[in-house]
Amino acid sequence: MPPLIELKDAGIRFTSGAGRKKNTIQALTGVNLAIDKGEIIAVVGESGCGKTTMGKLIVGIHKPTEGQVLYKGRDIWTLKGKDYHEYRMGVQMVHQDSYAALNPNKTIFQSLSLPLLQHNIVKNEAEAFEYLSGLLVDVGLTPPAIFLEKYPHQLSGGQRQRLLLARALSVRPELIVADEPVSMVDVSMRISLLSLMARMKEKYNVSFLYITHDLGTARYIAASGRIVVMYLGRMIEWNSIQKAIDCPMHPYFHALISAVPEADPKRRTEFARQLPLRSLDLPNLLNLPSGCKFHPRCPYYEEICAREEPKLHPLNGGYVACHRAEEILAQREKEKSGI
Amino acid sequence: MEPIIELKNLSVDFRTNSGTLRAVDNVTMDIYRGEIVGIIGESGSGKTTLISSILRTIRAPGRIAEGEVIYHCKDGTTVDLLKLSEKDYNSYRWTEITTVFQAAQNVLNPTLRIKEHFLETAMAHNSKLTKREILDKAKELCAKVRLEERVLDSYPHQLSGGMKQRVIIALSLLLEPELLILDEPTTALDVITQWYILDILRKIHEESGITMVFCTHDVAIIGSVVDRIAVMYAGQIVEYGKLEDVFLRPAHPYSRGLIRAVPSLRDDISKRAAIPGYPPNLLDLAPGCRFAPRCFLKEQGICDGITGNLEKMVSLGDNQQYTLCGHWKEVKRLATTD
Ligand SMILES: Nc1ncnc2c1ncn2[C@@H]1O[C@H](COP(=O)(O)OP(=O)(O)OP(=O)(O)O)[C@@H](O)[C@H]1O
Ligand SMILES: Nc1ncnc2c1ncn2[C@@H]1O[C@H](COP(=O)(O)OP(=O)(O)OP(=O)(O)O)[C@@H](O)[C@H]1O
Ligand code: SF4
Ligand SMILES: [Mg+2]
Ligand SMILES: [Mg+2]
Repeated sequence: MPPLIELKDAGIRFTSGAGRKKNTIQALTGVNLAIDKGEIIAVVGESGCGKTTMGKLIVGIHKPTEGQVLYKGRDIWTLKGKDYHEYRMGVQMVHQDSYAALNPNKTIFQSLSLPLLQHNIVKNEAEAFEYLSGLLVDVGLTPPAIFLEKYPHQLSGGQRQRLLLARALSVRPELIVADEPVSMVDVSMRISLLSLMARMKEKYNVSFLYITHDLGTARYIAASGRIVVMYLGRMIEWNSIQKAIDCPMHPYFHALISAVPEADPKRRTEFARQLPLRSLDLPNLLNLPSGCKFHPRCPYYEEICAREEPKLHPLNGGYVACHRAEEILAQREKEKSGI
Repeated sequence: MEPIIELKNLSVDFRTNSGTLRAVDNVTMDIYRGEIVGIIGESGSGKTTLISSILRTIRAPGRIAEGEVIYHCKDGTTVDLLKLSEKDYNSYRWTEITTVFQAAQNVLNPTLRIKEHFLETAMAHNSKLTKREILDKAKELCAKVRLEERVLDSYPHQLSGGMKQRVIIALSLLLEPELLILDEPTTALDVITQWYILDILRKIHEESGITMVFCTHDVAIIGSVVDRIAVMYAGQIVEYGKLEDVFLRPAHPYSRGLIRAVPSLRDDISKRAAIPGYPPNLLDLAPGCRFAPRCFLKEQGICDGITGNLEKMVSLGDNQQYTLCGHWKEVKRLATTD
């Protein structure tokens, strides 16, 4: 059985401006990733590293300029008729920009019931109302009747996000690309929503690509899943979540893990300066560093790092793209056992 | 400590088809000049509405039902921002008080390049600067928030979520305001960039003494910047105090629950618990304490859900901690064993 979704050497180049000011940005480079049914994959990485772009490639909003996106083994850009329809319903996205994602002139009920009626998921409006009410309760929007009659601008930021999650779930998809779906809700609600996603996976075998900057929550949703780490448009590490967090291999991911705040005011120091990074500055996408894209910030870099781009290779049960990963890992193991 | 903003008995109503909803209910609090204040609370608790009333951006069907927002100018005079005409208030906007709205995407005009946003903002409020000066300042601010120069020539849709967020932060600092209000300023950013931005904001704060108000869900990260914290629940401020007090010795059951729910990388997942239940329907409030149906003190029979609820926040002695829960001693006692 081919995977549900597969990215094959997928990349995308954006062109902006014109004439002398014309810029091309390689937002994604050589991404290989397979998502199976019922799998949860968390995607993390720096702001601007291409997470949303990758999500939009999967749901067909962007077309790759290199490589392919396959749905059950077939290129999504060649799908037609019934197959295309199956893909469109089967792969849903919860957009990071929750404001733009809802039609401002329709009530929530109008927006959400339309696809349900169109695709015969429910028979009539009354059934749609009941079905949607149930989902709204699931995402913590109670009492549901009040929310269904609202317009998008009448909702708070977090309420809107939860609605988008309910909308994605309502068409019973096979995969949900959830782009920062809980960034605007409080910690308590975050945990409830993540357990909801985990339940949906259990109950309906829905897969999730969970794009987030919150490593703490990645652990909840994907406790048994994988995590993918990106840097400047490239996949630089992946592993099972717990292993990746306990033992980060790539120096960037290690820095990212060290930066996760602890809710303890006693630890409020000049934290940013203690991070294991040579520089906090994000390299320019228009003027990418040579070799390893992380080398200008990497505390471990050596001459080879500026010369050659490291390849993603297996290590410690996962994959990493760093010339010195083996060495760094061995060194860290030694330090650990030394204490 | 001298206040820069005093909120007095502030209430905000929204008219809806099912009745009038009070999104902010009788809020009284002082924001002190030169401090960094955090407002935390559940989604829908009224944070954005509260700061919108300071910024006077509440639109119909919303209206300020009652209360005052007293602004203390640098020269010692005071003014009730709610009583100013739109034109008079405009002379405060951007130059005295400015904001970074939740979901930056919404604020940027999709048909304008980023640099045009800087030009428009400056021209609209301070025509003394030349175009050259504005653009130089824009470049400097972009560099400060870690944005490449190409961003100034880009349109909003060409930028990632986090990049747009940083553009707005840079834009808000353009006219060197006294008070900067940030609604979820870092939620779209990865943790390293969050630290970076907070570090920048903290430096700007140190250099200029600018007062800042953060609204956020990121309880953990806010702990690294704020001096004081206000906790909002169902339209009310239920606790207000110094960071250390509220975090380590909370005096309201809701604050305690919120802080205990913060996920972390290292603890046992099972120790982190969501607060059970849902926030109340603001259109149908039961009498007494709004948190009662979810409160552990109520569950344990220590509080009946009615008598524990105070009319207004009380001060717990001289440490400037305020709470709306009459059983705060019990909460504090439990918090020390957490
Ligand atoms: N339509 C577009 N045209 C030109 N450039 C684009 C376009 N969309 C994205 N980019 C660029 O591609 C890069 C990756 O953007 P993307 O939105 O995927 O980042 P992200 O990882 O989702 O970041 P964030 O965490 O901030 O949301 C950015 O440098 C962005 O400026
Ligand atoms: N224009 C409006 N019409 C009707 N109700 C509104 C309107 N704007 C906000 N509300 C309601 O007022 C309450 C408070 O909303 P507000 O946006 O202030 O919450 P918030 O604390 O900022 O939440 P979040 O953290 O999710 O952004 C919510 O219940 C919301 O549904
Ligand atoms: S390849 Fe070199 S520069 Fe890149 S992460 Fe590894 S050690 Fe650092
Ligand atoms: Mg994104
Ligand atoms: Mg808000």
